[in-house]
Amino acid sequence: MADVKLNAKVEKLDKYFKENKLDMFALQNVEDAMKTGIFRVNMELKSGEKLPAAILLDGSVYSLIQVQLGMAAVKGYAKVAKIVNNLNNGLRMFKVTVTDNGDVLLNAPLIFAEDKFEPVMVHAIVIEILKFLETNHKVIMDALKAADK
Amino acid sequence: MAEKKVDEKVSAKAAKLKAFFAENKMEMFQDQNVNDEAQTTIFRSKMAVKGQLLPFAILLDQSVYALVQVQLAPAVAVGDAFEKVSTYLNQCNNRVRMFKFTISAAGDVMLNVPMTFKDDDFNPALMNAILVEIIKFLEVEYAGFMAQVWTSAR
Repeated sequence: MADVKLNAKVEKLDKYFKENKLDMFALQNVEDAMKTGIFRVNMELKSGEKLPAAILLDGSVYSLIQVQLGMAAVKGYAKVAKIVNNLNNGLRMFKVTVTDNGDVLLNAPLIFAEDKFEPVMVHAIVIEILKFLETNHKVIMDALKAADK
Repeated sequence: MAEKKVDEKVSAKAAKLKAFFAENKMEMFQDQNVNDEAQTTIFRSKMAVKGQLLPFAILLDQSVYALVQVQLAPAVAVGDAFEKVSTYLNQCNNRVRMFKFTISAAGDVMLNVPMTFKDDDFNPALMNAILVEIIKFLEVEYAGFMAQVWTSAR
């Protein structure tokens, strides 16, 4: 049953992207225990910067949009801790994390009740993220770099 | 006219949640209307986890956003402890996709679950389901989590 539900989520979003000619999203099916489907895209800012992004869908009520703001951009988390925590307190819908490799990620978790997965909402959040990053990406990354010296 | 509509929208969301709590005899919530521009309503209660009573709140306002916030530990990440606790919380934030762990201005360790509801589609049952998920998560993780937080805070 879980497999059928997951496929339905991925299929629903895939259908939505096709119907709306949003062919920049590439689908990857992951053969893991949660049977995750990942839609990958590069978010292109007006500055020309391309940020790899992914929409992760598994068999749960949770979905996740994840954007890589910077690769190996942070050497030591302790120095940027205050900035990241301030961002996380200030950003209602988003979560900024730094991976073990120093990648800086913007995460937008989404929750949909069973059988109420909404591709339109997912797309709307992707657009909100893009708008947010147009204004804030450079400011955030510059602040992190300055603190990480 | 527009102002009145906004008030009604917020009241409708908060009223919907209040009605849900009443129908399901969930009498543990106290609600507070904050008279701010965002028309915020806060529902407060406590959740029992591993013998601890953890204060939590549900924040609703005129936007499509809702927030569930649980206070996991008060005033623990202050002064020198901030960096180490924050480093541990960053690891949790990477590992636990759907929750956001933060430190408040007072040094409280918080668990946050942001939610988005389309206009006129506010879903109290889903919100309740998320509360249940939070409790389930904390039943398993709270002891280990707090042990790490206290170690980091030293």
